[in-house]
Amino acid sequence: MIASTYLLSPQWEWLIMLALFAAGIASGTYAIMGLMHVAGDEGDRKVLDRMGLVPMPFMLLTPILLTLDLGQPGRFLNLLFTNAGAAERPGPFMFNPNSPMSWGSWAMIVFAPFTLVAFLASLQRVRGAAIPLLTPLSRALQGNVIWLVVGELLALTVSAYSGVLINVTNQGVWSDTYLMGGLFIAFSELSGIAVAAIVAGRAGNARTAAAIRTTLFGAAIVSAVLLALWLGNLAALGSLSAIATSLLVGPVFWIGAVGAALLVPIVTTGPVGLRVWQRTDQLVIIGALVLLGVLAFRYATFFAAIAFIQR
Amino acid sequence: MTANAKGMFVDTTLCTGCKACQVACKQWNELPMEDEAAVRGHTAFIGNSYDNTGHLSATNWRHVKFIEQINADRSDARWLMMSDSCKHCEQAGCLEVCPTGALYRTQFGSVDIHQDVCIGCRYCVGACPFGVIDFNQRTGRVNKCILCQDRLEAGEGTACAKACPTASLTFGKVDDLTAIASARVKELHAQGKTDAYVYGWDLGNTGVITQGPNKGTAVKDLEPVGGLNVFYLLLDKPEVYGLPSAPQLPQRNFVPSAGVALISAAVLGVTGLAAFRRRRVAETTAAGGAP
Repeated sequence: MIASTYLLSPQWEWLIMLALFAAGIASGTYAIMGLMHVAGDEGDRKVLDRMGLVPMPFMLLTPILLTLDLGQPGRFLNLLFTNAGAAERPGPFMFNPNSPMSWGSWAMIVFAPFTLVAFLASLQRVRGAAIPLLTPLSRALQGNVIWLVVGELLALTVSAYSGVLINVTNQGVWSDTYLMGGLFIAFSELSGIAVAAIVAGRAGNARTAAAIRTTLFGAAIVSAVLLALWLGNLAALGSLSAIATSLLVGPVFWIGAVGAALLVPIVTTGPVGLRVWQRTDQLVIIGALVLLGVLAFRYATFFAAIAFIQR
Repeated sequence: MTANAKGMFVDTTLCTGCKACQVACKQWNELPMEDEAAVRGHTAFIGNSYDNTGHLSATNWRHVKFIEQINADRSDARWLMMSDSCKHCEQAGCLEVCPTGALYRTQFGSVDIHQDVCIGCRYCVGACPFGVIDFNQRTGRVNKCILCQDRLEAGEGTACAKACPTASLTFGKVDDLTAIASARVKELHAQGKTDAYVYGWDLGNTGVITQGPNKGTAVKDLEPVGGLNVFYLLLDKPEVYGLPSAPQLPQRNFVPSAGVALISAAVLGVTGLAAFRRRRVAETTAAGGAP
């Protein structure tokens, strides 16, 4: 026999993948809300208010899935606070600037209150439900520019960090490129716009829906360019087969990530002359398909490293 | 190199594949057998070579590799043997990415794990360029060779080196070991074994492989990831031993990847802003105003 391969898989599978999918929906939706705050107007308020209900539950789900993966909830604290056993580390807070996981853990912890504020403010606007002190405070913060800018930066960090994280490994496919951070941010934004599309479609708000269609088309084009660059990069390095032709990943990648997440929005939200599915309510189906496609993208990128080792 | 770093020199030309080091490691560190179900299901051991376990794992911190090189007409053959373990890299990918401080550099320059701090996130597993560190399903934490930290603190050497009957494994100060390695390479070259070179530190040796499928290939000393405190004398290309020819720190991708993410975010933001602006312009134009 010859000596075996020198890579071991970190065995990040379903729970991690679902956690990052949930974090992507939360951060992507929050980022698109920020965009609508800046570029939209009062006519978009109804959709914006309903979107505010989305990030917090998904942000709540993320650490639950991550701690389920760790097996012991208490261990999660070692990401944030220096354990007494790690005497070499200075200070009470654990932060390793060389570790994208450390950046991501802190970004998620700090981002969570921003999603709560958005949730409480939206809850009052949409359902009329108010919690003393918290709701007025949330509404005040939601109107504060600094709060919005900081929240937006955190949302983008949460969107990107998991892509940067898998870039910063020595696994095949993941570390073969610099594009994972960009790809993850693009697909998180796609999931955020998909949420906006579903909300606008359900609300029947044709005016907001039109702007969201154009935003979705633009994001799908940017994502498609990044994906094409990535595939070209992998092809040049000889690791394309792990994602393009492996039975574990290939079908999900082409049908889901390429078909549902990119081709569906490009075909259905492109320039008016080419566009199919014109009705506002059809945005719900488009949004749902894009979300499924983003899930497929997460699956494909996560399991590609395993497919690479199994080649 | 870490000052006064301790490590090991693995001279593969002296290894007989007796696995005394593997047994000593298991015994000293009280490492359990492989997963029992896998043993019963005959999937724990590779079964096609004297190299039973095939690779390092959470319960095999040392592994003796048997590399069998037999030519097509079976007229020539050789076995290369190598006792493998954690290399205790000077720039350790596992240590760099650890988000909890569980992996740390000891006073001996080796890389150890605080088991009570490890959360089992497995980031280090994906970051190690050598496939050394592994997730332990039983404890939910990671394990690898810790260069017998407890023995070193007591002034002893490593258990594996102590057990090695042929001096294939030598424990000591890395400074001293590199001198021993350099002398050994020169000795082998003088005997006509020009294949010999060092994997772990660049001591200036070059050579040519004289046997096996890579016969005629030039080789030279390699110093990956800032140097390896456990380093090797090899007789063939690193890949033949299951070692990467150019292992790298995972952090090489950090800044470029974050930069691409930033640029992507900016492009996406501009695209979104343009979409809403386009709507406003269209509405203003439709209302008869200036866009």
